[in-house]
Amino acid sequence: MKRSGDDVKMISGEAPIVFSKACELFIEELTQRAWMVTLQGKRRTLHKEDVAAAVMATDIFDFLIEMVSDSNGARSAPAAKSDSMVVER
Amino acid sequence: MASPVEKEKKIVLRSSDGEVFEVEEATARQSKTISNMIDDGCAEDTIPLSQVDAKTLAKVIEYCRTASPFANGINASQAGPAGVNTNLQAGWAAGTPVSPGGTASTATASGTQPPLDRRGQEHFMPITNVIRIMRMILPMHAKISDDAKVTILECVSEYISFITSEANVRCQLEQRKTIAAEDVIWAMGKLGFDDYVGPLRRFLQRYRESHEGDHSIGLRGGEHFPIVKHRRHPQITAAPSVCSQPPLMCSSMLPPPPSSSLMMPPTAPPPRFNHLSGEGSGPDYFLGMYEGGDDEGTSNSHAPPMPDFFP
Repeated sequence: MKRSGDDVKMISGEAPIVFSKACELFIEELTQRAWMVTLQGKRRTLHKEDVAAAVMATDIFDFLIEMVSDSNGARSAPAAKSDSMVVER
Repeated sequence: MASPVEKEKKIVLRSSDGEVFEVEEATARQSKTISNMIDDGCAEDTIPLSQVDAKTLAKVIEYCRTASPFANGINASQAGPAGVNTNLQAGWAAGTPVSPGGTASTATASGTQPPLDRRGQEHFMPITNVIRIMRMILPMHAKISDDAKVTILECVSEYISFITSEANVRCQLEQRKTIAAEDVIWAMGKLGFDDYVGPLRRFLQRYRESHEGDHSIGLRGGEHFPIVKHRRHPQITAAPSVCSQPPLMCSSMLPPPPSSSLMMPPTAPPPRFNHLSGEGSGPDYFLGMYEGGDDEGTSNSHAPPMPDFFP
């Protein structure tokens, strides 16, 4: 958390705890969505492409689009990321 | 980057009292100052750090070394017990941060990732925790490919950055220096993760209630309720009113109320940082290292008393 921001100086004691739970929820949601893509393909192994598809299909995961599409070679349109461009790219 | 080989070149740092430390370039570059000096060509022989004494520098190097998982050519003269960062290191070693299939690509990717991290490297949580959470969700027969694991790991890191940035913006607007739990939850709501807000508030509430008198908080990335079990203290010393303080607490955080034992931002000279910086007034970014690297996301059961935020 601290390393992610340039100006982040201090973090309260509870913030990481909230984050740990939030990350759990995040992982659960992303995994679940990716798994649904896996099932649609009648497969049993969750692949990176499934994760990428889940990211594409979910609005709130737009900030991840660039991250999952990097190795895939498929560049999504910059217009897809509107107000999620909070972090500098 | 000016230097061609990042991972193998050694940088020599000299502390204010003349002690010399040799570190890998990747480790040294954790410091933006040193990184700039390297790029400017000042690092041909020794980099003098006249503002840092040997003891502090040793700690910083320890931290930096464990913060950069790919810099593993550890110089024996500095590889002490690394008391501060042992847990994080163990977590990484035990978790095998990157499985063989993804090692090469992730290692290279980390070197050239967009500089979300100002030190130029991605810092991941131990992957075992991530995998465990994934397996909880998936059916028994499901398999997860290695690149999927790594991808999700990267996504989580990105997620943390994303939320933290937003929370940080809000803090800056309100002229606050400390990111509170409320800021984090607010940021999530703003960025579209409304579904998380309710559960997180309840989780936070329960956590506060069960830690009324507890001053040592261990942070485990992948676990939630086990934290409560291990940390629960029978005695409740603080007044109940302290714990049920409304979320507006965060706005009154800067002048730390003496009765508060929950969210005490270490804006006052913190004696609790002694074990990190040696003098409580180390480099600026170091002051905010509330965990010294041995908490975030680790899954081991070592429970260091972390009096960083509580008086």
